[in-house]
Amino acid sequence: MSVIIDKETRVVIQGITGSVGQGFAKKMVEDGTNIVSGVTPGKGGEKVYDVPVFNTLEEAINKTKPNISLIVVPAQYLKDAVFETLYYDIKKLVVYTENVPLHDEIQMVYYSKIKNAIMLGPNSPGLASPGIANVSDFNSHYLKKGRVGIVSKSGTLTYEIIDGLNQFGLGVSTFTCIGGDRINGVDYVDILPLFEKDTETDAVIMVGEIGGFAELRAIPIIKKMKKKVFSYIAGQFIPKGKKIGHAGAIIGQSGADSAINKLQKLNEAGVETPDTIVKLFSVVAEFFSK
Amino acid sequence: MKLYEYEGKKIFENYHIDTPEGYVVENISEIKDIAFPVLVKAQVLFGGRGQKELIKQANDKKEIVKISEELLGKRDTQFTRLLIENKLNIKKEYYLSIFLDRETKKPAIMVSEHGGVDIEKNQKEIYYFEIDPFIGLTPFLLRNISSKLRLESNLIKIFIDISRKAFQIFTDYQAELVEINPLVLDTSNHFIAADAKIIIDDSIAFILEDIKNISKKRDYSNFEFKVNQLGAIASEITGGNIGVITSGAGLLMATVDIIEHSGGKVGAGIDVAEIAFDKDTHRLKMLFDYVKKLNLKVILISFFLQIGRCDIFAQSIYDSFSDIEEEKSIIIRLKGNFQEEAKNILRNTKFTISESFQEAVGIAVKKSLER
Repeated sequence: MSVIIDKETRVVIQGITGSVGQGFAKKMVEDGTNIVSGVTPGKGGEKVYDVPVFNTLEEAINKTKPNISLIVVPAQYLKDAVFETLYYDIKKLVVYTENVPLHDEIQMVYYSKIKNAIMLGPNSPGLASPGIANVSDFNSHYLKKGRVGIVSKSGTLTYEIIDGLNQFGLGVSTFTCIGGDRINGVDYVDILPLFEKDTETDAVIMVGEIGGFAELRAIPIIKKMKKKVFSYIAGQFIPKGKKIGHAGAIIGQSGADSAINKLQKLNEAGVETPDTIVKLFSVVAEFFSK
Repeated sequence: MKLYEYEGKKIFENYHIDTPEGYVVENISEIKDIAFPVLVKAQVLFGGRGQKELIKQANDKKEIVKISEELLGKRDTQFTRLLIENKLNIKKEYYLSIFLDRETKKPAIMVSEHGGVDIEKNQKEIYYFEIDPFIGLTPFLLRNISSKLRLESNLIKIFIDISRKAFQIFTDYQAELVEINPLVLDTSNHFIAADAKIIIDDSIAFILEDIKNISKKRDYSNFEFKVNQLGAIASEITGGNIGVITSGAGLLMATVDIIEHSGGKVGAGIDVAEIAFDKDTHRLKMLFDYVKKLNLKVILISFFLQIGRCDIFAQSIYDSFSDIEEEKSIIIRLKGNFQEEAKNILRNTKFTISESFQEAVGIAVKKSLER
């Protein structure tokens, strides 16, 4: 078992003929992720690294039966592309596109909830289960199979954590990135229960950051979990009101969504909360050495 | 992007939401005669102007000049103008705001019959309504909202009309926030927007016809603005002497955390963002040149590249930093695509090269604390 993706995963890339889409197609073909088709309006009949391209998603579905869509279309066309995915009942989406207008995000997220879909992003670098499928921009080369589950907003930070864990001989079961924007699809509260059920996962790392209360909304879920949860929250020294990197990484007017406050609340709820990723590596390694 | 009060009020007027009669000045010579008393209001992007004495009343021409001179004396890059307005005869102050709620992931409207400066203290009497993203601010919701305000029956229709117009602005401008506080009911029973606070989504601000010419520079320092124009994302933090450049926002925050926990102080953090995918060194070199001009003691460059190429970064670093005096204060850790080629480029330079993320951060902190 794994989380969201599995051996039956069949990937379609919406926006496959752009430079980002082509890069993903190449990577998936090379590392053995089951990519079945791509969609770009007006480019039907072409091939990208031997992957067939269709004009519409409906056609791609009829011919190739994908069950997860990686969406890399430019921000100005994104809302319609995501509506198309959801309309045709694909229930798993990775929305990679960045700089998406907030009002579009609101509608996309709302429609995804109505459709009961699992939408990672916008601004999500994706997810991967080593040896099963890699629907992310992380190179499979660095992925080592193991028993740590990761749910995070950030791609680069997740990759650094995976690299750090590798050095302790630890690998991941699945990592999932929910996106760094203020408005995103599924949250920690949606992903954590999947890890709790996953037989391949023994402990979960929740990687959060300043801004918003998504990490704190996860507390009641974590309290009910039998599996060990570690949480690191990035941005402990970023001043209030200062936006850093991610569009969503900004402390609000109340100041209650600071990293320090989140770490404290999580800690009070019994979550182990190392305050740097270096400490995170050692506490996770210690857990697995027992 | 935050709009100034006078910019917000101009939009209000275009949507037929009444605002006090007034005008904007940049210097004393522009002061005109309007009925007294007036309020002289500094145009700044932060709240709490009353307490900070940035709004003052003037009762005659002499006072208006004196107050304007005094306020204009406090000008800076983000504060260049005054708004001079007729003072309203206030019967009651209401509160109205429409915003995107990141927790519910939906728009929301909040109203109160206790608006004004103390709105935050009146939490209990603020009414919150979720707005369905697909059906919008419908008549039934507007009726529910206005019923909370105990308005006289002849005012309900007017309040609903203003709410509807504010929502239209929120939608047309794809705003994060449209706030009227206070929404004044004057002694002749007119609703007038005494203040205007509008925040526009940065990702849309450059598309909107009447907004795109307003410089986005207002929210940023000079350095931040220049870097952001390139396509990277910069944050300048006062008092620090370490510059951190990373491939990615999360990694940047995590690096800053380790530095500060080990006693270092970060002066600037830069996520190269989309520049990481560049196939030439053009934008990177410009970015590094901006960083060089900051007064930093140590620069830590830490990348773990999945799509971008380490050798392109290495070449840009080499080209940009070879002429600086203390090359050893540049600490570089490059991992990912083409990392061996990158090593070859940086071999025999005086930069400090590290293979490990942890080690690189440790060296940066140590060097930043040296005398």
